Amino acid sequence: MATSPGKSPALDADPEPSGLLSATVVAGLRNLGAIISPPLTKLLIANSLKLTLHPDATIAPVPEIYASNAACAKQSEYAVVTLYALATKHGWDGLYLRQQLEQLALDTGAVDELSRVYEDNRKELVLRQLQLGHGFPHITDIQWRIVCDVKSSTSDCSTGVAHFHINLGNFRPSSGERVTIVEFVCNAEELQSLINRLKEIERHCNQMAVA
Amino acid sequence: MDEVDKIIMHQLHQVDATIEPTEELDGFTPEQVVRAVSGCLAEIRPDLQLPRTLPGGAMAQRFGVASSLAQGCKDSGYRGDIGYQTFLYPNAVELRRLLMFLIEQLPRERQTTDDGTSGKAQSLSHRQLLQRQIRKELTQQLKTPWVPQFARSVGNRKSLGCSSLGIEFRPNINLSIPSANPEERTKEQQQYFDQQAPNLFQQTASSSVDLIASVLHKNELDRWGQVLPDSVLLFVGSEEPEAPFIVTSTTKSPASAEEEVSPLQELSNQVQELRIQCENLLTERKSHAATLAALKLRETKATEEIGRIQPMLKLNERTSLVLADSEENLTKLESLLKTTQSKSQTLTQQWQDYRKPLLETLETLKTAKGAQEVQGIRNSIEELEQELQAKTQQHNELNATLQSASQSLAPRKEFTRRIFEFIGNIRKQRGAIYKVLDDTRQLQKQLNVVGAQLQRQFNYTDDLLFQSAKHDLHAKRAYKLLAQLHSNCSELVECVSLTGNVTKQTRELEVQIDGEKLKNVLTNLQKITGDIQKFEQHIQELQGQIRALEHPNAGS
Amino acid sequence: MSSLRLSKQQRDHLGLLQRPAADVVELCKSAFDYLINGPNLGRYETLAKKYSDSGSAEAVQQTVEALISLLISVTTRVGNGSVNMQAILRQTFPDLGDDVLEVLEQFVTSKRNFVEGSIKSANIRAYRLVNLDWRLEVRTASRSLLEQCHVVVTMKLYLHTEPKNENRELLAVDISGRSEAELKAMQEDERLHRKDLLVQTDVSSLVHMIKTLEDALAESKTRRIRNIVDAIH
Repeated sequence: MATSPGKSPALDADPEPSGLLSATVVAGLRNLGAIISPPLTKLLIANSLKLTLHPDATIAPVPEIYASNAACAKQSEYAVVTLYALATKHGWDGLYLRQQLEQLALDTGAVDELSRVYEDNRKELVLRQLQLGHGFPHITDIQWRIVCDVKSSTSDCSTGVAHFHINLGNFRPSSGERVTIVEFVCNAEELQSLINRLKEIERHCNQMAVA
Repeated sequence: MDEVDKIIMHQLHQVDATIEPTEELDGFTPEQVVRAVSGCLAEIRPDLQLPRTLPGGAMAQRFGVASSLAQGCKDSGYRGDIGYQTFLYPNAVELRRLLMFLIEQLPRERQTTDDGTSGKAQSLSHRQLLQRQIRKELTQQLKTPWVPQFARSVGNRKSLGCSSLGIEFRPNINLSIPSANPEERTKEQQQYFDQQAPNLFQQTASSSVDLIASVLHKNELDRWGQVLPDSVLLFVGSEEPEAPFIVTSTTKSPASAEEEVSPLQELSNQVQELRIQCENLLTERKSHAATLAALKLRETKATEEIGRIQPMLKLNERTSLVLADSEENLTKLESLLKTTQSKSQTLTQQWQDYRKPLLETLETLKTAKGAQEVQGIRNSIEELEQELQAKTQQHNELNATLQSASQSLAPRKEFTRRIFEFIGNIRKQRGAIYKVLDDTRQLQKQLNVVGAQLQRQFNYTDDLLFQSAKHDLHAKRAYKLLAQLHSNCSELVECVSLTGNVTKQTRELEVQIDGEKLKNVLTNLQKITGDIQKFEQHIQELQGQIRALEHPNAGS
Repeated sequence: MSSLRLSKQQRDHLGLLQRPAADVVELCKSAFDYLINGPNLGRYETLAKKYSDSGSAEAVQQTVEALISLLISVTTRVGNGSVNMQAILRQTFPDLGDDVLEVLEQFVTSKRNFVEGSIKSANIRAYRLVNLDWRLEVRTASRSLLEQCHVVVTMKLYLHTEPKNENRELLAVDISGRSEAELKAMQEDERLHRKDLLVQTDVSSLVHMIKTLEDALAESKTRRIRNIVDAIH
């Protein structure tokens, strides 16, 4: 263990990191290159990765994976996805992943392919898992309109002042549909004080960044 | 000037400890120049790959190193004249300018955090690393242009994050994946997995669950499920009443989801019945298990009882055997007793024999050990004393170096004071220069006034004499003389101005000569001729080699 | 300039205005009191006793309420100071004396701002931003990624539907002398009109938000928008 590149602090706590994988995962990984032929293994890994990274995209199904031994293929798909999720979670690098896989006595071709694909897509995987977790509604979009009333049910005359309708929202990642988080009205002074408040945050961030 | 040199040396020493602060800038060898400049450049732009030292041998390599460093300086924004000659044939003035520029460019952070010698290789704590990372992230987010949300996963890929898409950690808690051992599966299960079971991605395709979350959840459940079976059962049980329909459809018959409602209903009814049956069976099993446990308890109690009774039984059997023929047995037992007693006596005798010498040796060893301990303690005391002396000596030495260091470091205040003095002097000089300039201007003005007056006077006189020259012979002569006088005077003025120009040129040349003298051209020239000779020699050698190579070819 | 259209019942309720100007002043003061503190039966009782010849406490209360109704309808009709208020009042109540009309006009003008603010934005109860708290957060680990550095600005938005600032001051009355039921009602009111919302954003979006809002503010100050607003007014 001392020779391994101790990238993740979790490694120190866990004497045997391969223990992170459940028996099902290990069994699924052992299928690769053995029960499932090497070209199919390659295809299966690529397909699993694609579906992991782009859960919402429509990706053409690959029926040949399930042509024979569908149960094993399903198990292996689960195993590959789990392996990558855990490796990303614990911040393994490519070399470390390879070491772990070699300890499991897998097919060497499968080990090569698994570590190569992992190394090539590490950034995307980290990005994917960075998004996962609880958070308050995240504002990424802001819309406004200036409104001035002409006449209303309670008053014959205009107030004579323009108001701002501010709408804060974001876009649903799956459909791209816009979701309104909050909408409120304010006049010019209130808007100015809101801007000042936000600028205060920005200034604070700037200070943090420079200090 | 040597104040500036001192500052430069101090900074260079901080950048690269191998550069001794005592050396003079004038006496820098090309090797030292390369070392200093590349050290500074490495601090300013750590991403740059630069040669650290000047290779000793081949001229071409030296030339390459020098020009790459020159390019590096230019890229860092150095405006002055710089090229390979700056490094190979250093000259104090240019070198000073270059080094001052580089030191100016050194990152501030380093200067403040750096406390003397232990600069680079300090390991940062986790907290500091995090702070640094946060700072980096913040600056990056503040600097980078805004990217619309839907373009972020592509646009912010490089910065690793800031995608701001929040996906809730919602696992599908009922993933059905073939378990590790295929032997455990029944035939029906195998068939189901082979044909009907949706794959992992189909099971997590719903927008309410996430693939990664589901997978992580299942993996953890698989790993810890055996350890905590009760809680898992509890978990599943509590989850079921909320969505019994979904559970049945995902785990048992997902294909039927596409079919019409009535068979689905039927199937779910069946499932319900089966579940009730299963529950009944489970309760039955539980009662059976309870009775089984009670019976087992009884069994263990009985075996215990048996274990207790058996030795008593054996004893009883033996006594009854002995009592059967008491007389004979009694004599036998007595003889046995006697032999045993005699045996024990001899054994104790032997024991005593062995014990005595051993006890004696033990005693002697104990005393020896005590003496040894005392000796050891004495030795350690001596060692400690020596160490103490060494430490105090070291302390004294360090104190001395500290004093010298503080003395050498102190002059910063001195420098500023002197700089202020310089500035005062410069100001005074500037005043004097302005005064001279004013005087010159005044003089020029007077000159112009006088010149103009003279011109007017001349014109007037010229007119007057010309008028009268028509009538008077004397006047004619006077007019001629006037013309001559005028031409002579203008020649004279021209001569004076020419003299002035010449003196100015002379002065400029003198300054230039001084400058050239400062550059000690002669030595550089000697060096250059030496290098050229080396080159020629090299070329000759190469030619010789080429000839040697060609010759055998020609000969053959 | 036409008169205000008042119903028969309303005119009946305003019958007490026939009394001398000093009594009308008293009634107007009661109406002010009504606006701030609600009905005050004891006061009406004493007033009714004073006008022993005509009317009971009930009639006084009806008059006060009719006065407020008058105030609202006048304010609705008359947008700003350009209209001649006295002319309208004179046409509405041709049988009243000049001094009484003057008192009425004073009553209507003095409280117009108060009523105006309420009725003009009362119809659409949109949320207004009252306050904003913020916090800079860094997520350093999550269940799916043990090592990360995710900077987030979390903001709490305090929203309120109460339309105008001057009326909000009324909400901030001291709660010391109130009964439990009243307090409960007030809390209920708070709950209905208030909304606190937690949201988050990233710094890059924050900068973008500031820029967009500043654009909006700058846009509202352009000549074009001003011309439009003035034209509507």
